Amino acid sequence: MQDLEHIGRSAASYLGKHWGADCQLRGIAQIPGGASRETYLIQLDRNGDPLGVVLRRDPPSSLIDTERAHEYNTYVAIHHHGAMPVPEPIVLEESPGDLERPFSIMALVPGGQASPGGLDEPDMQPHLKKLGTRKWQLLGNMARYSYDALGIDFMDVPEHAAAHELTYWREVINSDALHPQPIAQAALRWLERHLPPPPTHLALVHGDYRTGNYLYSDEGEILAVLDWEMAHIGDPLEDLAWSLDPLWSPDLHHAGRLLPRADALAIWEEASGMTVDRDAFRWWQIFASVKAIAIWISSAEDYVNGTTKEPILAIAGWPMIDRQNRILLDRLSPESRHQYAEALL
Amino acid sequence: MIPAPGKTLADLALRIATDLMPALNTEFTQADAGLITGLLLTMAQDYERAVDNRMQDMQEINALFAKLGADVPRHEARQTYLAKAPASYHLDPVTALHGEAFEHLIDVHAWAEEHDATLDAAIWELLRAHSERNKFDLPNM
Repeated sequence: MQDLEHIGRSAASYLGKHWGADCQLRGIAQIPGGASRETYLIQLDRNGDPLGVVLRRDPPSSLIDTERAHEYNTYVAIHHHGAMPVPEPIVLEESPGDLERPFSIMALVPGGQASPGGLDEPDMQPHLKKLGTRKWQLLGNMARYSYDALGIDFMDVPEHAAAHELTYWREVINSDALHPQPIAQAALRWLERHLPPPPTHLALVHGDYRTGNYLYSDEGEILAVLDWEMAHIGDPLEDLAWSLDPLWSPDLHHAGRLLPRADALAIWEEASGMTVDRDAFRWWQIFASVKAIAIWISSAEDYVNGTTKEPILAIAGWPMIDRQNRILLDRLSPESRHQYAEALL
Repeated sequence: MIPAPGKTLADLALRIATDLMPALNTEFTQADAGLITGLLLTMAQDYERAVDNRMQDMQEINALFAKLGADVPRHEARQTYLAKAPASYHLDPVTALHGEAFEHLIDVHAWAEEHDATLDAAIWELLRAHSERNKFDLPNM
């Protein structure tokens, strides 16, 4: 295991060569919460000027099996197009070198935090409506763009977005579950029976658009949207449903700790210029919980059988499966009591 | 001897959260300690109940299976399962048999969705009871 100083010095040396500049390390800290990559905040002097960067390094084992190049190239495309605020990508290095594992480096976005818990602080309460409005406006705006305008031609275009996603995540559940999952299996069968027709409009889907994956300021501005490793071309309703899943808020009635779900949906509709097809959206809401439970199942498998023993994998694979099961039960059970999830929108 | 492992795990979690975490000097190590605290609390809550919960699940599943006719698929395999008991009341053999029970339950549920609405509702009720029994009480969860 490398110490922080070594990682920081190696990154400074690499960037010095990359930029052809004198690059010295001023400080480094590991950032918590990076479940799919190790994340470090690095302060540098570049030719005497202070500069902050964020290093994302492959871990020995990850919560989500994703390709680093896919994520980095998505950042490049989005940053170039401006479809969403994202950090400026600086470099992707796929050979390990001094940092032992592949990594990418982005410019630091100053003045923001991603912590979901930070939204519960008293100082943030006056800004939650503004933040929530911005969150779903940005998502709705992104849905307006045709995917072929974004420079993401490295992504596959699915013939049937819902069927494509269902096939992928069903396989994750069936291959990774350490114990039979009767609630997830019932949900998979429901999804199979209620598959919506292919959408009339395909868009870039972030794939994990939720509180915790964007940087917000103390004044309720969204400074950058992060964690694009699951980005793909698909039905824009997928991101909307995922962002509204009850798991992302301890409060039953507010999406992402910010707004009532119906308000968030209305903001998205106005920003996207689309009217949500409620039948299709019900499907995507159930799908969101199934995809989440697939990720938690996969992380449990990784924790038990993988090389790393990161506690985030065990938390995701145990109490989060429990909560997601209760959300699915509330949404699918014929006699639902809606203790853990409101009725589908 | 530790006479109350569940309580001991909870006490350890509290000790980390209140005494050790504030002394950690980086945000990353504090967050990591917070996750370990959450895991210890999860284990503390499951320690006493894990075997009993699985046995109770199987009791309810078995009672439901006992009422099913031979027209429900995998009847013979289900009868073979019903004749089994855990090799011991240690967690691993109980969990293994519980897994068998759940595999049969998944099959019966899939059949009931197409053929028997009353059975379908009964299975959802059984799953709700299972889920409530296994619920964790953790901060922000």
